[in-house]
Amino acid sequence: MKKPAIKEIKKKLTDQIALSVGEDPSDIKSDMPMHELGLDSLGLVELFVFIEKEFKIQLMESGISQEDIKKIDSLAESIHNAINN
Amino acid sequence: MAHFNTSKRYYLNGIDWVMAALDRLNSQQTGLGNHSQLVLVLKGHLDKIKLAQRISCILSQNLFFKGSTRRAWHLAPYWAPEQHNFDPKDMRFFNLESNNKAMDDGATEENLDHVLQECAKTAFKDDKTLLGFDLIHCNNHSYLIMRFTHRMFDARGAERLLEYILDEKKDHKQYSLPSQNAQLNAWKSRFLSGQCINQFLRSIYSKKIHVVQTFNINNNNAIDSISNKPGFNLNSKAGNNHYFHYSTFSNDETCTIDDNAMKKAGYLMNGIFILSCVAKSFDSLFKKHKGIGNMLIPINVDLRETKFTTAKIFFNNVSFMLFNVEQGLSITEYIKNLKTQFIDQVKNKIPYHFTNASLLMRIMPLNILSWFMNFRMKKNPCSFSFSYIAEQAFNLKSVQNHGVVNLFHMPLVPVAPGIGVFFTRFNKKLNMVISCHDTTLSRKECACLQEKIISKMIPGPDSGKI
Repeated sequence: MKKPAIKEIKKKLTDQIALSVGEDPSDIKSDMPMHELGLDSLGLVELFVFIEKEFKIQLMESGISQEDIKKIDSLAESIHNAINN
Repeated sequence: MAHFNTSKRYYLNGIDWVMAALDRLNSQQTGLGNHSQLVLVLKGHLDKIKLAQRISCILSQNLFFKGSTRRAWHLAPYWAPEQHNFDPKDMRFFNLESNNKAMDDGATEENLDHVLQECAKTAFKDDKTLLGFDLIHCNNHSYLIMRFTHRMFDARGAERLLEYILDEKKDHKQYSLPSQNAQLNAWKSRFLSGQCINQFLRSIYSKKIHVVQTFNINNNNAIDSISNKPGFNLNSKAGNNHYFHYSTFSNDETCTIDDNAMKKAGYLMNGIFILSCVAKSFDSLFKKHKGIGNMLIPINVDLRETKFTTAKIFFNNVSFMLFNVEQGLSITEYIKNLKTQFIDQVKNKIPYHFTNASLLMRIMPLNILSWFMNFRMKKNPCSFSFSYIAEQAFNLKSVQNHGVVNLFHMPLVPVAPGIGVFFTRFNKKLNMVISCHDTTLSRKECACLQEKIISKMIPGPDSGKI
């Protein structure tokens, strides 16, 4: 199965976050902290559930850090690394 | 001119129906329904006449103000809005400004507190009225109060409605309530959700035999004795002994809480951190009341997007989670435990299943549903209610050129569990309100609880003031 590129992961994350915060995906900046985008704890956990289902990875067991989940850019990179390891 | 489309019906969702049943239950037990009030604090004095005219104008143009529930031929309940003009005289005005400069500031604060509490306990004119407004001038500030019933508005919906009413820059002639459909399809999915909820509740209730039953709740004698108290000013039939303790944290204090939450609970887990501090603070209280067993904590979760349109002002867009935790844990243990339950419940779509399964409850008439809820709440009483609203829905910077300082909520808590701790954030400041019945907890104990919660969230005893 073809593994998704970082760009593709970012797009999927952006779409999911846009849905959660009620913004247009084009207004979601990938270098902005999630809380500034308007994500709350429920939205964040829903995002984790989406990631685990979409990318078939166990996020909690992939060694992801608090810093990694703060922005779409860093989160996409961590997911990419987890998929490729 | 009304802008409701009369060719459509505004069907109630399951949570609206549950809220209506809770409203009925509360009315029977306390004389007040399932109400709350928003308190908007502004600098300077709002012009009361201009404000009343503004409210009257918007409410007369739109059908926000009154309505009732009816059943369609297929039994699905729907909202029937009614055209009714808001009389500007119905907005009460309290001038608490003191001309006597020597008067103690503390006395003014006390008066303000008293009026805020009394306003929160004011019943609506009749069963059909959804909103009420009051204005207070005090300490060169204005306190604009909007009372609302949860039958048709949840907390964030009400915030958005207040913004809609006060926003002078927008054209309000375009508002139309989007119809909710009857949702009389997908029965299999609703029953499966019901099954999930039953399994979930069984697992929650089976963890320990007892939930904490420390307080004298749901006691008709207690309610009778309160209604007979001398000087107890009731504006309702059965009696009403709600009271509130509220605190606003400064920017610095809120930052400290956020930092503590980040360090101890993780990124964006402020709600879990705060709930852990609240649970820990209840520990000693339960110990004093010789409560045994686990704590059972229902929490409200908002299912809307962070930024939602005026179309989602009406109806209850909320669901529930339920946490069961042992007493006597450390804050770190509470965080770990609650976080695990939170993640599990989101993974298992419990909030979704609650809303989906609740659609089935609409078949029950309100009197039967409220009886059933009362039975369940007596059988399995909760320890305390909790909610944390991380994102405000009111975003106006000023009203009549007076800067907005704060916005907080004062919700009445149902007789069971009789105590609730509610947090909201406004302009990067955290507000805390403890809502309580004095059959549940004495005012002294409640003040003590407030202090404990604050001390758990931030170091230093003097934090948190209105």
